[in-house]
Amino acid sequence: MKPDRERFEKMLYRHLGLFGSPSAGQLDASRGRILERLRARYDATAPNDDARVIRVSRVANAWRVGLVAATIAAAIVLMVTASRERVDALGTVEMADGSRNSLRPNVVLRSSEVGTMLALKDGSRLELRANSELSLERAVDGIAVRLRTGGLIVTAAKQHGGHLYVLTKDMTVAVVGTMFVVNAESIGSRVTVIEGEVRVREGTSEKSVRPGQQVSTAPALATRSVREEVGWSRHAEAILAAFAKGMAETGDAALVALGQAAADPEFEAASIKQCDPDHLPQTPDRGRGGGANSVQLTPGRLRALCVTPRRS
Amino acid sequence: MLATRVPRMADEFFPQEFDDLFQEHYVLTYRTAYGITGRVEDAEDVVQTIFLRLLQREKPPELVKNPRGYLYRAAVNQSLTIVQTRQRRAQVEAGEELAASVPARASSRAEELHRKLYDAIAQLRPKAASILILRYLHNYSDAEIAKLLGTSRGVIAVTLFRSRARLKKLIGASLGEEP
Repeated sequence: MKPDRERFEKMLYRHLGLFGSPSAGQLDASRGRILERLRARYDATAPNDDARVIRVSRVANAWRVGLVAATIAAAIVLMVTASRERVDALGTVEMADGSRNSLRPNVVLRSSEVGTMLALKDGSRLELRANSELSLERAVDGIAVRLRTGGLIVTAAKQHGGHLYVLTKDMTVAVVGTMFVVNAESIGSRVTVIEGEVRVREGTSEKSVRPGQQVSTAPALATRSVREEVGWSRHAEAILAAFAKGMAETGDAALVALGQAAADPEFEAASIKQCDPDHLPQTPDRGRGGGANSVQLTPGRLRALCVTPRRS
Repeated sequence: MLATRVPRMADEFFPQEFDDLFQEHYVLTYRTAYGITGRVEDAEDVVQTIFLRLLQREKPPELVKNPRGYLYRAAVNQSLTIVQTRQRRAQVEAGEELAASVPARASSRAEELHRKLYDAIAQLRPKAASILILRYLHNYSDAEIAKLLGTSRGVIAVTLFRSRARLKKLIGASLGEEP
């Protein structure tokens, strides 16, 4: 390389890169600020069904005031009708403070606190755990909820010939009308059924999961009781009562007891778990019990040692 | 009439595809903008501007074809516009404050050359400017630049050669002062 060119290039490297590279902290701080501003701008310009519905209601009152107001109201109603046809939201987000926003397909919803409810177009209701992230998609025969991270409790409405799907990175849950909990974590996903029945597909295998049963895609995901799974919900007690009812309907005495125990606030957490056939609870010395579907009763506490899935 | 309700930041709405695009290309666009403008606030403005444009209009075909290359070029162009605007404003202010004889800061010498260089780069063709910045700001090799911009290594080498020659002419006087 000629000395002249070398010197010039050296100068270019030095002066074009004068400010160096921003630090990781600076990159993150700027990223947060930029995203916040972008979201504010996007939210301000994005169509919002509910805001328009409220606006229509106010204009309806103005109709009584006079002809001019009525004309304006009519124009707005027309605009609203047109825009509502354009915007095909799949659900409505009901935030903890009572505000509502429509959620369109493929739009990411992030919930940073407990209490965010999502009412789907098919009548199903979802409660999001804090720090959860999901989006809605149109499926061939229904709606698909893509859970990217976090957890949610799904109360699926009766589907009329269709399905509601919950998709995580490694699992697909298909339902027709039931209540269940899904958790998507970095190492895998876990489904716990409260009421009804769901079909869980992982890769090429598919299985049916019933009340009280839990399926996870990674062994490292700890088995959790129903109470632990729904403990964060604002409606935890109602869900546990529904779970007890569902277990009672099985007619199995052990499961009925477990359902009642789960609904009892004093019930010990982390007790309802599926039996591992290779590691069934041992029968105590000079005692009775043990094996599959056994429970342990101590003063003030009822623990499920393990539960086997009901045979259909 | 009720005002439009802005959702709380706790619950945010974004097209998923856009979110993925932002996360994937944020670092390169931000580093480019910061390297050229030298200011955090300007770098943030550049990144915000280019991504906001994407949110507000149809997806450009070049973005679909080569998102990384498209966003990088957009960051370069937007940053150079900011540098040029700043340069023009500085010239106006310098003219107005000539009588005040404000002493220059100790670091202003290097910053001035930096500014002059980018002002000169802004006069090059956008593609040439993008190539030059990838080489001397991001330390990319010819092959890496060719891959990012979807062209051949030969084109990169020739463009760099010509750009250096043009830059020398444009900032010749300033170079004479370089120690």
